[in-house]
Amino acid sequence: MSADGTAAATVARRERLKLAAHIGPGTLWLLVFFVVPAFIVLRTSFYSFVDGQIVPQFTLENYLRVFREPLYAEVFVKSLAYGLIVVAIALPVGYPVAHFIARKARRNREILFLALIIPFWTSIVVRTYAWKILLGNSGLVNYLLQSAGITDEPIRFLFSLPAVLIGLVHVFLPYMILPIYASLEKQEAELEQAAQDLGANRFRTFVRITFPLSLPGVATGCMLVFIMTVSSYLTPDILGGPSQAMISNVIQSEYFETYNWPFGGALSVTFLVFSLVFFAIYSRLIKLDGGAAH
Amino acid sequence: MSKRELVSRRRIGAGPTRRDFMRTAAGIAAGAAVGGLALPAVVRAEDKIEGELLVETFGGEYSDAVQKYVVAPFEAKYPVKVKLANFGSSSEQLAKIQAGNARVDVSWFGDSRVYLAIKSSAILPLRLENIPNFGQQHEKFQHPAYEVGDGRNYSSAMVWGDRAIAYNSDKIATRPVSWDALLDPQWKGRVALKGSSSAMVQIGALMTGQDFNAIKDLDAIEKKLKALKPNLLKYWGSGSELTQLFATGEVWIADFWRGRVNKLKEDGTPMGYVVPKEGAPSWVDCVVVPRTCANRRAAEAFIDMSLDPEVQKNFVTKGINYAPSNVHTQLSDAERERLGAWPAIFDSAVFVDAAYQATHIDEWNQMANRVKA
Repeated sequence: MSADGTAAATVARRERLKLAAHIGPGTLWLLVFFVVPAFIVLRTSFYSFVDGQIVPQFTLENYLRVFREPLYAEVFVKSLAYGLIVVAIALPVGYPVAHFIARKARRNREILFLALIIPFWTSIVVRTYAWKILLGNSGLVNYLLQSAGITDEPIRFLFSLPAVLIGLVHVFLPYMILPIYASLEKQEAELEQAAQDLGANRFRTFVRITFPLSLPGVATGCMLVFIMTVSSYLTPDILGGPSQAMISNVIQSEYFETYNWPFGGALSVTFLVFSLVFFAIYSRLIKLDGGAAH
Repeated sequence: MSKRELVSRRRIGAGPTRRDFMRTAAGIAAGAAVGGLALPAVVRAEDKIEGELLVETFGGEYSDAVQKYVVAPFEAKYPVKVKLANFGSSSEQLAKIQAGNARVDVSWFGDSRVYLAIKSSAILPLRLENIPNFGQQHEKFQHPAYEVGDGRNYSSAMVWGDRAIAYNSDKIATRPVSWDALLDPQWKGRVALKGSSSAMVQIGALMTGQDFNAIKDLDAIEKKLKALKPNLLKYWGSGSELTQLFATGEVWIADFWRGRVNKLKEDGTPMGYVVPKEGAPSWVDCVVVPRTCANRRAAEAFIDMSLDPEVQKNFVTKGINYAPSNVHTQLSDAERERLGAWPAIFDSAVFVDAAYQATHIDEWNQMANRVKA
């Protein structure tokens, strides 16, 4: 062994320590507050539920019931459909905003960026309640409609599917805008200039150069918004009517009304597995990480 | 020394490995969540009423009332320092007490959760010899339907009430007499119903002429609730939510609590409250001693104080406006009318049979989720 070898070993050890220092706290945090609780949910999902009590007795009944009862598939599909609709609205709404901030807003970029981040400082409960005030029978929207003479009676917006969708798009829109902004911002300006030098007009430049290069951001944004929408609990609860319960609301009722944690756990685990499979296929198809940097 | 032994020695020398840690952490957390159900009760018999008492109750106005009308006279009488804390819901509190990680000496509790708390040994039996006022409660609270019926008592009652028809008397001129009023197409989109599965089943049972403590035909209830759905604006979750819906005129008729309706009236919403001919489900706010209690004697003295007729009178007339559990509480006729504290109402009140509910709640919840889907 030469001195070089020892030095290399020292460097390697230092690197390892550095790595541990970097990822250690985050890993520990996730371990204690995510992996352990997830493990408890998984373990409980195989327990029995007898006479209102959780009995640590192995059973597959909870999982069988998830697939036996059409109700859960229905709610699951409904949640997926809400996810797709919200993505379909948030993408065309969010893309131009991201494009504007990345391309046009040279001087005000920081202010606009801040405006995007500010909603995160307010609790989602407050933001969702704000829609209740805006859309309520005696809310601002109805007041304006009535003052303008467009309607005589207040129009009911709240407690309906549109209200839920409006709330979800609003709450999750920044998650669409930020990744798209990031991938637009990373593009080299020369590419667009080159396209235009070669005779492409602005529309063609956008369609052939800018948009394809921003696809990784679009894919990430769609994924984030979709996942968060599908698993949302609060918005359908506050803004929804009698028919807008989503999968999280059903899971909540198992945990807090029947105390059937085993079945609630089985629903959660099934939902999680479906989401992971979906995510794996999606990222394989779209190559989420591969393209993101280029 | 074999290689394996060396490895294991090194591991011992190096302290717990990550896997050990994970196993321990998972064990602790899992034990806290479910295993705690089986831990034996920590019982300390003390004769002196002193020291510190950790009391937990519902938040908001409720907590203020407990502080002013129960804690204050208790601290004036005994050398005990009470620390009052709040929780969001009985469900939350049950999970906490079952986990058994935190000391709680006395806790308020919804009647529907008392049974589960007893079954999971999360609360201690009351030593009635230390609670002389216990016998002043209405018979229904001394032998409650919401306990397990093992010959012991685990809860005392504080206040109780019913959940009957609340309606906007400006919009609905004729006083409703039956739960069927919620199905009236005139009120389409103006109706709300409590959205918990047990609450839905209770109203559905009354609408189909059944006893919600002995349901014969759950399908009929499901059909009825599905028929009601087109009329509904919303399944309500919290009292403040429905209060707001009544106050803004978005809901005209719903199942609601008497005290909330009184409050709406005081705040200017024209409201009526009627117990329909089919009857109305009742509820009780109970007080229990969790198994993590570390000052049992003081806890029992506190419960005794909560049952004192004078304390109860102040609590229900100045604090939380529902009927007191102590039948010897002196109330004027006007107060009885307002609080729903007439003896006749006591006698006709139907409480949830908790054992029956516990064995059926799973089925009910599935039905309720089907109705909502």
